[in-house]
Amino acid sequence: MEVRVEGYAQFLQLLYEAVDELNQGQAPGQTLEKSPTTVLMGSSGKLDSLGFIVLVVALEEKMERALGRHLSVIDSMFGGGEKTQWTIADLAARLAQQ
Amino acid sequence: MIDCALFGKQVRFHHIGLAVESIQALCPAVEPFVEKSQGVSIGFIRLHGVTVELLQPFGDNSPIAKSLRDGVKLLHLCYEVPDLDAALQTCASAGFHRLSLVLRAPIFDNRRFVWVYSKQYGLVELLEKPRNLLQRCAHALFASAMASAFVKSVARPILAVLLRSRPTS
Repeated sequence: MEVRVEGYAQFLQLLYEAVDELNQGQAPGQTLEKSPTTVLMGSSGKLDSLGFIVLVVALEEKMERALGRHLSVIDSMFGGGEKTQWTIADLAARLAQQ
Repeated sequence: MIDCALFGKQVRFHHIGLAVESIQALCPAVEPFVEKSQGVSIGFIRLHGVTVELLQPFGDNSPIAKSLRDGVKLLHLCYEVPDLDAALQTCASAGFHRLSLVLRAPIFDNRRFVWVYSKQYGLVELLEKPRNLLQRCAHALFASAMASAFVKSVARPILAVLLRSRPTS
C-alpha cells in the first residue's frame, strides 16, 4: 500500500481538527485523544454511533474546505473490505491513498 | 408553508424510527426480528396512520442502548425515493453526508437504502421505491402484513370489547 507522506500528514492534521470539534460536544471522560493510535472504530474504541457521525461530518467538511473536493469517509473505510478496526492513523493513510 | 425538496421529486414519507426498551412490552402482537449487524431488534406498527419502526437494543454494543440512556427516542425519519443515486446527489448539495454504503434491506423486499445525516435535519434513511415486479409484490405483501397486524393488535380487541358491552336481549 503506497501512502504519500505529505498527504498522510495533511489528513492526520484534518483528523485532529475533526476530533477537536467532536470533543467540544463530548462528556468529560468521553473525549478522544489526538493520537495516531486512537481507535475510531472497533471493539476497543470508545466512540459511540453519534460520536462517529459527528466525526465523519466534521472531517468531510474540513476535507472539502482544504482540498476543494468531496471525499467520502464511508467509502474510504467500508468500500474496500472487511477491516473491523480503524485507528486515526489507518484512516489518514487510507484517505491519503484516495 | 414552504415545500423543501431535499431528496428530489416524487418522494414520500415512509416511517419514523423510535427507540424502545422492549418491543414485546410495548406491543405484544408485534413479532420482532433481529438485525445482528446493526445491533437491533426491529418491529413495525401503525400509529394513527404513520408507520413506526420500533428499534430495541440487541447485544452489548447496540447503538440504541446509548440513545435510550440519553433519553433520545426519536431516531430517524425514512423517506421513500424513486432513484436513490439521484436523491443522494440532491441531498448532498443540501448539506447531507452519506453515513453508509448503499445497502439492501431484507425487511423491505431487498430494496436499496442508505443512511444520510445533516446537522440541521439529523439522521435520515433513504429507501428506494420498488423497482421491479417482484419488489412491488413484496411491497404489497408488507402493506398487507401491516394491515393484518393492525387488525390483530387494535381492531380485534376493540371489537371484542364492543361486542361484550352490547346489551343482551
